[in-house]
Amino acid sequence: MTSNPKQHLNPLSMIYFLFRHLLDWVILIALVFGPAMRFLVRHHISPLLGFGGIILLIIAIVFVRYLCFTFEIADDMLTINSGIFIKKHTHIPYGRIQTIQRSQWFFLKPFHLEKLQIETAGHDDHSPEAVLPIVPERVREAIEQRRVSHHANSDSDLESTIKSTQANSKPIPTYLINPHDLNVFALTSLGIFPLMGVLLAIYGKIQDVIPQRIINSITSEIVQQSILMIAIIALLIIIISIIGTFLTIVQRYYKFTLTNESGQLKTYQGLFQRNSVTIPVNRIQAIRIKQNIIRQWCKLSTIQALSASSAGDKEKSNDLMIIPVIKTAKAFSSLAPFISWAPADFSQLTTLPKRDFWYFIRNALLFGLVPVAICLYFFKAWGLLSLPIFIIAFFQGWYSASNTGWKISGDQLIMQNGHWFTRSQFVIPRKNVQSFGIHQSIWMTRTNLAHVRVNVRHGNSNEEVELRYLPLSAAQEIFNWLKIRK
Amino acid sequence: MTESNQLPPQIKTVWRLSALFTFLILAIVGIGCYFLATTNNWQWLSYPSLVLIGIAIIYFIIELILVPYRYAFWRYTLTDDAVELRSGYIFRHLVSIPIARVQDVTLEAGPVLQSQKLQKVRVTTASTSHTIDGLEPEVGERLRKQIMQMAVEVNDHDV
Repeated sequence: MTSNPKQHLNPLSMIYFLFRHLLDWVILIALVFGPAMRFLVRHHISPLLGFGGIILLIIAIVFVRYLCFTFEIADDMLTINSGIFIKKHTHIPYGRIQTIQRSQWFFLKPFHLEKLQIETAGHDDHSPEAVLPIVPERVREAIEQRRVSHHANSDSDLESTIKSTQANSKPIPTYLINPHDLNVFALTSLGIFPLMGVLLAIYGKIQDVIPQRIINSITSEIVQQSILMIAIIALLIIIISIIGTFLTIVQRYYKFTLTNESGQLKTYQGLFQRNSVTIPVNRIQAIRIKQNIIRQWCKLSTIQALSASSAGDKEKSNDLMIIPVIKTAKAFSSLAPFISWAPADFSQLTTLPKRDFWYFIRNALLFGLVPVAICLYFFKAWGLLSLPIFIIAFFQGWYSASNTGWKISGDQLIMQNGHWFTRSQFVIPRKNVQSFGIHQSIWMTRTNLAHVRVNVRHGNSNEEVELRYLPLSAAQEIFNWLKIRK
Repeated sequence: MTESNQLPPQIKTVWRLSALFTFLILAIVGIGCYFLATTNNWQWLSYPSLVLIGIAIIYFIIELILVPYRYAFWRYTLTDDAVELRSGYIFRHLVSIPIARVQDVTLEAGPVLQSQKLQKVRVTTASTSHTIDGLEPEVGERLRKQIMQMAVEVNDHDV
């Protein structure tokens, strides 16, 4: 394909444009409604005609916007032209593309249409550099093909090109989520707690809305059965929360698939809306293996990739899922075909000696002191009910300490820490560490302890990975190892 | 050049001057508010403005006390392939920035720094940003050159 004419989006995009700015239009109409009515009445024009005119105008604007929005798939870059009055031209060289995200609603699948979002590492904005609302699937194919060939050309050593062609002849490594694991994963989400809060709030609202008369007539009956009622309502809320989170998670990761095609990782997921993210393996900055405490007991892990793109899970800020759920024992062996530098197996990490646990527990208890003090001040004796916070804080401290671990393995640093009953293990290649430091207070010099902080690019900002209260010698070992230049 | 360097001594003047300016701004706002409050008999404003003046004074005193402490323990080291920043005694920080990871270096000087013939150096990586409060222009320039040279050698940042 040598000719690369300007292309328009699919005409259906007009509906997208219309709905994306629907709120603006509604506000506009609401604002002009009064004056417009007066104007129309004065000039004896039927209001129907007048508002029909406004709607026609809106449609015309949307249509012009559609006409002005074009894109060009040139040989070395993608160009997007948009804007009616302020013309905007975005040029994205293929080599600079971080991720390509596509989402396809089930009703667009028969028409082979989808939404494309293209991101680079530039950190100007939170929104992707390019959004193509509704385009035929072949557009993505064309872009991806050019991107792959660009990578092959730019690699100076021929070896990787050969490798990628070999990879084409070999079966493509593929991972498909295990439905049973997904069910357990969805059931063990800690996300039910926020949802429970929302439901409780809704229940409170409903109570306000019910007329007082009805409540009064029922109250006498309820009082006798109040405990039973409260129990039933609480149980209902919990059940609805569990079902709600369960369905959300299952539909989001439904048939999650991960493939590796010549150095490009590609994920597919979702039931109603199939989402897909493509990212070159060599753009991944670090890997994070995450488990909350319940999933630790169920021996399930989540594997995420940190990259300089904010693609991925919208709700969970930039975490790009590589494998949403996998048996912990198989985590690294399943990852190996996709990320070549990942360790082959879980390494035995160096952990903290038991006597250092105290510092974590002390800090957690100090944090717990704040809410307890507030409760005691405001609720006096009733505030004593907040004392269990200390128990939670104690276990939180213990949890953080016992999950702290580190290891230098080949060219990578493995760091593990625990926060809020969630354990995260980071695998960071040395070349992706942006900066690092040792931090120590004067009291820690007596006990020979230090914190180590390592900074990695994540999304549009920084991910600081911290190991707290390491023995100074270990901290210095990590520091000196990070200083070595390849 | 691998030994640790203290910041130039003029930086103490810079810190004191910036503390003074911040104090003056806060104090002027506070006094202005207090003046308004007393002339218009606005009870709601008189206490906050006094608090603001108090904060300004406390801030100024603490900053002045901290200047020698900060100066005494601030060190920077330029090695062939890294910038190391060391600071603090009660809370000790040692941060290392590999030059190969540096995306850009910014030299800047406001009026206060200019009066002391210093430049503020900001080193930015793909994810973090580190500041050296003030360097003599020659040192800043040398740092900039060194980093640019390394950046040419390492042409692919892999971000």
